[in-house]
Amino acid sequence: MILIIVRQLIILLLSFLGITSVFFILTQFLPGDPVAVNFGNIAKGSAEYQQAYLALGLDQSLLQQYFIYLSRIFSGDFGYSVVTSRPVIDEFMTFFPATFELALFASIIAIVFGVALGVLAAIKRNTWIDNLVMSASLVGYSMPIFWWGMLLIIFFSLDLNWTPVAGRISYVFDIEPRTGLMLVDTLLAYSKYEFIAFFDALKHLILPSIVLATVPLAAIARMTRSSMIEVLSADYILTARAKGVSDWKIIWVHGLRNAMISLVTIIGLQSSVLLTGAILTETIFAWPGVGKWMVEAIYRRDFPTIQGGVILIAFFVVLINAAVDVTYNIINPRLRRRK
Amino acid sequence: MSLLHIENLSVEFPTHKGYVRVLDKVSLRMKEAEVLGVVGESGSGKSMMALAVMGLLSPNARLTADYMSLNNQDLMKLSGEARRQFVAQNASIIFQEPQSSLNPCFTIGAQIRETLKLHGVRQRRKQQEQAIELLNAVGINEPETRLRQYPHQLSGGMNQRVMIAMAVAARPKLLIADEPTTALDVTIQAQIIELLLDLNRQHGMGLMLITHDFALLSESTQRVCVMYSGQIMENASTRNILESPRHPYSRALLESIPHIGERHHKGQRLYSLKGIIPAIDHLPVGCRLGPRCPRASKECVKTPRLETIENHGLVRCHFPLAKDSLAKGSEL
Repeated sequence: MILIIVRQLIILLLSFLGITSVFFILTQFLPGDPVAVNFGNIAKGSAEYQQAYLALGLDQSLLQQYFIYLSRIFSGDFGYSVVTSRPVIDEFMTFFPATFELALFASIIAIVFGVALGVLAAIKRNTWIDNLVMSASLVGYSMPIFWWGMLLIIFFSLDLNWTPVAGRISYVFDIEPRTGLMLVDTLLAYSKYEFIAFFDALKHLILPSIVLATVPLAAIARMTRSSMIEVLSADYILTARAKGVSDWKIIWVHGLRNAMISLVTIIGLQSSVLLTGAILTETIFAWPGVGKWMVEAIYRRDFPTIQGGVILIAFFVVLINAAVDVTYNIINPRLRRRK
Repeated sequence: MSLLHIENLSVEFPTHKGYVRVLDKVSLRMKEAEVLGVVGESGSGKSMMALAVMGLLSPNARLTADYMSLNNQDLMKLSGEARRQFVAQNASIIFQEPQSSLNPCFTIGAQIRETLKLHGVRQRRKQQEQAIELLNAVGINEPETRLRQYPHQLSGGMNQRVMIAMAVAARPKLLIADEPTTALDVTIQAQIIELLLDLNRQHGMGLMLITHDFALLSESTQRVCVMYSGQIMENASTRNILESPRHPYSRALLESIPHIGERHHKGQRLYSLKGIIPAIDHLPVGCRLGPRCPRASKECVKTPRLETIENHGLVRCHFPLAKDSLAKGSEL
């Protein structure tokens, strides 16, 4: 077990090095003055400019510039936003919890409903239920989510008036960000109205989560179905049935436990889909998360923010995949070492 | 009083050409504590019969029978879940591939304890004790360690022993062993068969030994059922069949067993029937063995019935072989 984690940590470190190297090479191809790209417009020849020039190591060799770049990144220095002048890492930390909350909620929806529908389709395979689930998931998988999001807003927010159109919480609530997770913060912030604020935040969360969950949900449902069909035809399922194990237990314990092994990989891969999807979803719902922050940075040509943000998001995806790998090793007994 | 009594059991599966009958009016009886051999090549329907008895056919299969009883309980009168519970309490089955018959995600212990729990052993400590006892009984060393291990950590022979331990946990009246040794090493094969026969003798447990290997049956069974293409071709005592098979197919199976030293000399080819077993949705008219049978004649386009031959057993053939044809070495 420890060995697996150590191995994962080494892989993680190598992946980080890889990401940063690719990024460093890419920045070499950026047009324009590197000082302007990193620090915004500073008058050439000024003392400030000279300082920035030296800080980036532009007077030194490319290799040395790379090491300066690496040491900056690994000490958490991702530069400063040219728009707000705040450190990029600080900005990321303010916006990230919102995205995390959204992505977490969306993953829960995607996994719970995706697995349930996939199992249902597998049990009822080649019936109308199966056909319905599979066609719906194909539609869901291929749906452009910005359009889907707008449809949902028109129907649920404008026609039915069930959910708010945008944002994380109504303006009447003034929530102090402690954890950055709105659902937690609302419960912490108010003494009297915390549940009203909590449900208000929850209402804001529902539509964006559904929109973000749609594509991964469809993918998970399809994978669950095929993996369950394979597992349910295995001999050990016959053994369990011969033993007199109930159908319910055969499906959800004997079956799903084995199907999960291949599913975990797919679910892990969906995490990057979730983060790219977050960029669109956050823009549609004016959700103040990393996605919206990145889009705005692009509009404003805020290069340090874009660079720092992309690297941080990449780090996060790598981190999730490492966690998935560890989980995969835990749930698959065949990968554990002999005692 | 019989342990297993089947009358005209048929199983059909839907295909795009309509229902195809993979098991055709199979009838057989097993007495208590009897050891019955079922032999036939792949696709002869022997496994299908086992699954049908156990109620393990896939839901799209259509099962019909005039009568089917296990331990004197009419199975056809029980509804789905009740039937399954009854069969689980009274009969067990082990399969060909021990490695894939055990759930790879759970420890041996968890799987045995689950079986015990289903048979009313509730206390965890008792489950553990009985699991160790069971593993000891099937000849597994260091049972405590094995219980903590996963199927992939054990050898095939060991896993088959675990399967047997689970199968006999409920003290079933009938154990169906569906090619239990096909996937195992030859040296292990004999041990597993010996273990099954021991359990048969000790607990009076009926044993249905399904195999394609006649040699395996010769010393262990009292009666043999020869199946071909979903039908029973010959059903007689083991001695009768071995000494003087009456159906050309039984004889062909016997002839195809390699013998060391006797009868076959170097360079001589092993006996085999020409052709292959017909596809189940494309059966020949009349006798299903017809096109492959060396004795076939015009008459064989009419379907033969399973008929009694005095002092022998049941044979499905228009031209059964003469008694002692094997010993005399006469041509088929």
